[in-house]
Amino acid sequence: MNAARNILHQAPLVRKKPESYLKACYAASFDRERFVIRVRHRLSESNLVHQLVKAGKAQYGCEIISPRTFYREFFPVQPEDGVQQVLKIDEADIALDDTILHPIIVSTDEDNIEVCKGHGLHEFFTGKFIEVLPGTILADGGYFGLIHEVGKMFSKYEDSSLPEGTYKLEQVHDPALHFSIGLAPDLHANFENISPEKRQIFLTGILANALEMLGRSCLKEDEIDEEFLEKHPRARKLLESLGENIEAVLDEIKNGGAAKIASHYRTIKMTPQK
Amino acid sequence: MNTENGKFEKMQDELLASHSARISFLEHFRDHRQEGFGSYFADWGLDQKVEVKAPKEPWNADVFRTHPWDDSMEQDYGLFAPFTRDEMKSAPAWYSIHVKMVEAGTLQSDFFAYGTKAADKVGINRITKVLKENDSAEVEGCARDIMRHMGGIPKVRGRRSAEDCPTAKFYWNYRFAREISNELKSVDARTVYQALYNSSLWRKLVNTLEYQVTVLNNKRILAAFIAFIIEGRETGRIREGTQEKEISRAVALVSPLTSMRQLSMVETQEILALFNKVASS
Repeated sequence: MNAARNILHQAPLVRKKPESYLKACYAASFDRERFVIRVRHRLSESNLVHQLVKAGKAQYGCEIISPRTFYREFFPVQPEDGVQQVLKIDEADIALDDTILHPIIVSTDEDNIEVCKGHGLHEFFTGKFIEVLPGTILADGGYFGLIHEVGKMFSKYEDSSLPEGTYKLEQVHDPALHFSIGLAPDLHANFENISPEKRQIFLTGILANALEMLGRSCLKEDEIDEEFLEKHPRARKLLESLGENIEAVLDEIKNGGAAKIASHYRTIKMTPQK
Repeated sequence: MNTENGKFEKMQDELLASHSARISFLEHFRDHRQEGFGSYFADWGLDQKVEVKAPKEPWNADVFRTHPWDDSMEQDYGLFAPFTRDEMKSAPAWYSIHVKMVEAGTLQSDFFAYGTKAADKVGINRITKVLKENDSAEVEGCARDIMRHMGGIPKVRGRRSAEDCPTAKFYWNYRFAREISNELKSVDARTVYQALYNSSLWRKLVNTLEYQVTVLNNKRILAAFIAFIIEGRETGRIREGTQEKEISRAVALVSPLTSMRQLSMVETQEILALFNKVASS
């Protein structure tokens, strides 16, 4: 067969669920505090895109899109930042309720790659060539509304009925699922003043508790309650962002691993007070 | 800017629903060409405290309607520098700004009343004639034109300030022209500004950017796209009078390129070459 006929001008994409790739998955989680967004990219290993990232031939990035204000910019992750990205948006550029985030992985180089089994693609691709140019989109994490879907899982409020130094956590539906943290007045007053390290330890505990609650809600007679996850896409998104897949994350939570998972996930932030 | 959309839309609804309200509206624009102009809008939810600097010279009706490319461009564009991009697309924000500009003598209230017919070009003449004849369709047409030129009628036409309001059109057109010439040194800002001022091209472009192919909003991609359009007009690929159709064709040609590739990582000149390549293939 003529080699030219084997060139794929459109690179197969890694998405949230495997499609062209056998197992590869790519997703991003977000955390927003006013106009600062922390993006965490998650790409599974053993696939062509991961290999290109490792070789410095591809990079993570995120587009910020605000159609109403004619704004669309792409922000690549700097190599030294690994899979984490902090985006500082200029308030004057966007309309908050109209802003969309679009995480992707792009090629940084021109290349012609002959697909082999180690690239993790379906057998159909083996022996074919993928034409990659600077900017070719290799993985697509989807589109996310900035204020509707990002960073709204946790909120705090002052609960004057609580004794000094204590707090409580509730899973609430109002209407979307989130976790509400009631803080005793002294804790609430000092919350913003405690050091970032101490606050992180506190929030790690909160997240561990929340995961245990979520774990109980997601399991029905030891099986994943798909109906609950359908009804609460935020819960699905959070669990998906914490490990290889939801089943594995729920298994770990069930076996007492919530604190361990929470301690690895260090980007929890509060939304404004209720 | 602190505006209230609910109040604003309610007042526009009331105005559109009543002939007598429209008559009062036109009378106000005739009788308060500067002093006391803002009193009509006291309950419209506008930002009363907004501050707008004065230009070097007050604008005449021609400058307001179709801001020419002249020495005052940068300074006139600078009048709106304190506002966000979202405010520059918002009808209540533009109403707030225009009220201040009229009260400061930068504009006259009757400027907003111009129409598309040659006989309706001078606002004060149109208002006087419409009030004298009292034909309900003419009264409504004149009131609607004023409302559109003040900043838009969002409930009727959506957020279309950039199309309907000449000051918003000047702002966005000049902003694009600056950004594009900055990205693509071979294209000067004046050429871009004058090319985009064509009304059917402008309408199609801003609609495409907001509702259809948002990837064109990226500075580099937009620069290449506009250069592609300008070159197309120069070479006859885009004929006068059919710009809207030709823009649709240009969008159809280039948008598949943007779905597979993050073109903002590519030099603008190279993006333009890609667009030209796909157009000639």
